[in-house]
Amino acid sequence: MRWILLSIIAVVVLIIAVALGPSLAPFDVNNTYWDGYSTAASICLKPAYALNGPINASAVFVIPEIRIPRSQADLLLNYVEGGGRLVVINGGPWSNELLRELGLSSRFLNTVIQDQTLNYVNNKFPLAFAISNPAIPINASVIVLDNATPIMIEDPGAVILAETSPFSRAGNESGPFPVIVAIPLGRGYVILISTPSVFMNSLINEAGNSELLRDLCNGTALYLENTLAMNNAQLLTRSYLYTAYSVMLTYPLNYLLITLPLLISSIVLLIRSKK
Amino acid sequence: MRTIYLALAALAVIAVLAYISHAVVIQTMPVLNPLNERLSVNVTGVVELYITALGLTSTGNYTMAMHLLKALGVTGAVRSLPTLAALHTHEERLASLMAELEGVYEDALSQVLMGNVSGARYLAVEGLVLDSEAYGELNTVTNLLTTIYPNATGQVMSMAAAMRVRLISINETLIKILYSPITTNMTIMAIPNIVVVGGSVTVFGRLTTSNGTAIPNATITIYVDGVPTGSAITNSTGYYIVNVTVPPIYKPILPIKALYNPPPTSKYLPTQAVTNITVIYNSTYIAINYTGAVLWGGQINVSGFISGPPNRLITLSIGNLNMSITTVNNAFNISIPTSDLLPGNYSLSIYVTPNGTYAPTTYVGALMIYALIAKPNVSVSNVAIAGLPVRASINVSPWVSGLPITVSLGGSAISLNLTSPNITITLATPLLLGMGVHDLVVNVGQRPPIGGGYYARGIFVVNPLEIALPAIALIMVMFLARFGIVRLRRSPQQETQALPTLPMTATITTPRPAEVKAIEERIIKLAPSGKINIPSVKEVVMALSQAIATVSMKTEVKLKPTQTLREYLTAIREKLDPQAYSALSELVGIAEYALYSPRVPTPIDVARAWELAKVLSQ
Repeated sequence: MRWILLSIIAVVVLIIAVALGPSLAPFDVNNTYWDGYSTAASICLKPAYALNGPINASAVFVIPEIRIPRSQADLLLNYVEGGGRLVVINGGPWSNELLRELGLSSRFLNTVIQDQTLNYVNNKFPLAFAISNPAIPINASVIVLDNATPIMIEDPGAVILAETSPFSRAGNESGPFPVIVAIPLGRGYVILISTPSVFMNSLINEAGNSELLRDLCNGTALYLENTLAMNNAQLLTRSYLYTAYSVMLTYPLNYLLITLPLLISSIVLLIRSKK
Repeated sequence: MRTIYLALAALAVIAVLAYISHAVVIQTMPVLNPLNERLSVNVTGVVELYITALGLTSTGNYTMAMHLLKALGVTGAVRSLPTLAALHTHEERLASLMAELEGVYEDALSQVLMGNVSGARYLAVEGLVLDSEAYGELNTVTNLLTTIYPNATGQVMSMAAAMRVRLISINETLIKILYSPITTNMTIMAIPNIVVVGGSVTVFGRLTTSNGTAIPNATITIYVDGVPTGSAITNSTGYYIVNVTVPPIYKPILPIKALYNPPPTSKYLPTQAVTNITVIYNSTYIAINYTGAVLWGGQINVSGFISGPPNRLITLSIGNLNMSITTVNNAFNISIPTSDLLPGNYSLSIYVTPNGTYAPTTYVGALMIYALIAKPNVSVSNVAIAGLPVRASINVSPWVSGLPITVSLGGSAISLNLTSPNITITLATPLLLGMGVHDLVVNVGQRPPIGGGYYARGIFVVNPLEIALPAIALIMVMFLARFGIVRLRRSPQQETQALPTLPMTATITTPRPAEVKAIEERIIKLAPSGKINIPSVKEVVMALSQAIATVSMKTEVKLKPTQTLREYLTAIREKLDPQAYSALSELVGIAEYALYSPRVPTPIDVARAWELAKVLSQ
């Protein structure tokens, strides 16, 4: 019996160690490599693995790499309409799906922006320039991008926060292209960023990228980890663990869990006294 | 042992998760590792931008110049090439020095005009230092630019010359502020002080030193709303007078300034005086009628009425489109095609140029060019096999001839222009496409009046290679095991089964493994620790434990922790039939021999022990 208990503890510790170890998932806050978000997390992003009710944060960052369930999209919509700031970073086709579910017409396009002249390493790393605006104050002036796509603006009142240089090209089109756009929705704003690379470890400290993150966070912002692609066993395990943890924190499960040791002790004592 | 098994089970769970997650391919936003990317820079383009920045600095647009220079500092070209890095440092410093110098210069002039000569002189010293530093930086930047990009030498030299003129002019004025001892005063009046646009005004006044002495033969420049419009020379009593024509500036109040800016050799300091005049002009009335929402590809019809002269020039702008038209009898009508614009929200700007006493006017209105969204309807099988083609029937509605579409699945794509709304395509799937759900994506391009469209549908791709791989691995392990390269361990019971056994009767009593284990531990506890780790001794003990557990079940006499094997044998003697007792007695003998003698039981002893245990279980 003692060995079984020890074995179960060992297995649980092993799974937790794997789940909490250094991650290789792109844009994961636990990923300390070039494509991770660990530096961004140290600046202002607080990871969240599930939304269970009204959101209380200065901003919410999301990279929709997978389909966001309707219930979660509704929570985000309520948050923005109530005056929140939702930052949607282009994570693939599901990003446009989220915009559609939020009732917005603007879209991330598929073409990649290239800039032969104003670039960071080569033409696939174009520079973008912040545009002063009354809606979202931006202190950063130059932003480094990686494999960015243009944003097609179709919503009234949308404000361009940053655009690429006139030398940039996307397909057969010439720049400048909007790459960061703020769209008013209810009392809040949805901010579109055309590439998740802006805040990854290898680019966050370049030009004004970290300043841009601070500007958009406006304090401490929630970063939804459960919308990242789960094509990584570690991320999947961690997601399950955090989901289980967040479920355990909800009422009445949390109450039951707290009272469980008391209940078990009472039952054991009762059985022993009967014997 | 169980710990290892459970840990291995956990690892197996993780491995399965890894395999599943590998099989589920999710289309995500690809990004490149900047640390591994090959540097590829357009040096000519970057240097041309440095020349543009120098041009902005030379024309006094320091904010734009600094902004552009900041961006250039981030480029790979500047970070990797030391010459460009040096150019960047010097040009950025030049722009910064020029901006600071202009500020100091303006402040020094203001101080002079306010009569604070000591303050002005303090600023002049600071300005002269900045001027000298800027001059040095300008020379360095010019040298670097002409060395790096000799083709632009003429352009660079001309910009540098303009900046040198400006620096020398500032330098002379600052020296004058520093050494000129006499401050000056000036008065100004304008008659009439109410005038029609284009009318004439007489401006006059007097220039004196601060103690009232007239300054003759001084040049006074007259500015109307900041535009130089005339000049005059003071007479022997310091008076000046000049007639100026009010330029076509349509403001109700215009400032007229008289400026005295003495030459560098003069002993006087600069001064100025300002007065205002009222301007009379006619406002222009504009009435516009236009289509607020137009389908992409259609025409925007704009018509309107403009007051004033019957033929007035107006300019219309929508996005990047600009056009001019002249009104006929105060009216105009124009149709603007939208095919050169993209769908979206625009501003329609109309500017009416001034004409005589009629002021210019502008009109700005919102305009929307909307497009139809194409809805692709795709009919395709829900399952595809990697390496085999997928056939899809697509219907696009609405559509126009030549509408571009792209169909893609797992990295393979087909692009074509539609000639009919219905098409059937065959798309090859890559052989190495991972097993899982992949999106078949149909992207409809833009062509007026269609603004594009998007369709994605998940197709489960079966990859035969991925399915076969685990099976092949299993077969290989079995094959290796079959030929003895890998030996799969068998349990002692299985090994014993290979030995000849006594014929078995129909009833077999099998004790629970937990009980056998408990008896085994009890026997081991009594034995010397050195022997119990010997495999054959362990086997004998296991056989004995099984036998005792069987006998305990049959007789309900258990082996007590305090009993020896012989005491237990005595205790059950009455309850067992002679044959069973004899078997157990022999087995105890083998066990005692195995546990307590210095000798190690042979395989025959082990086989006999299991044989006897089996006899007892029947």
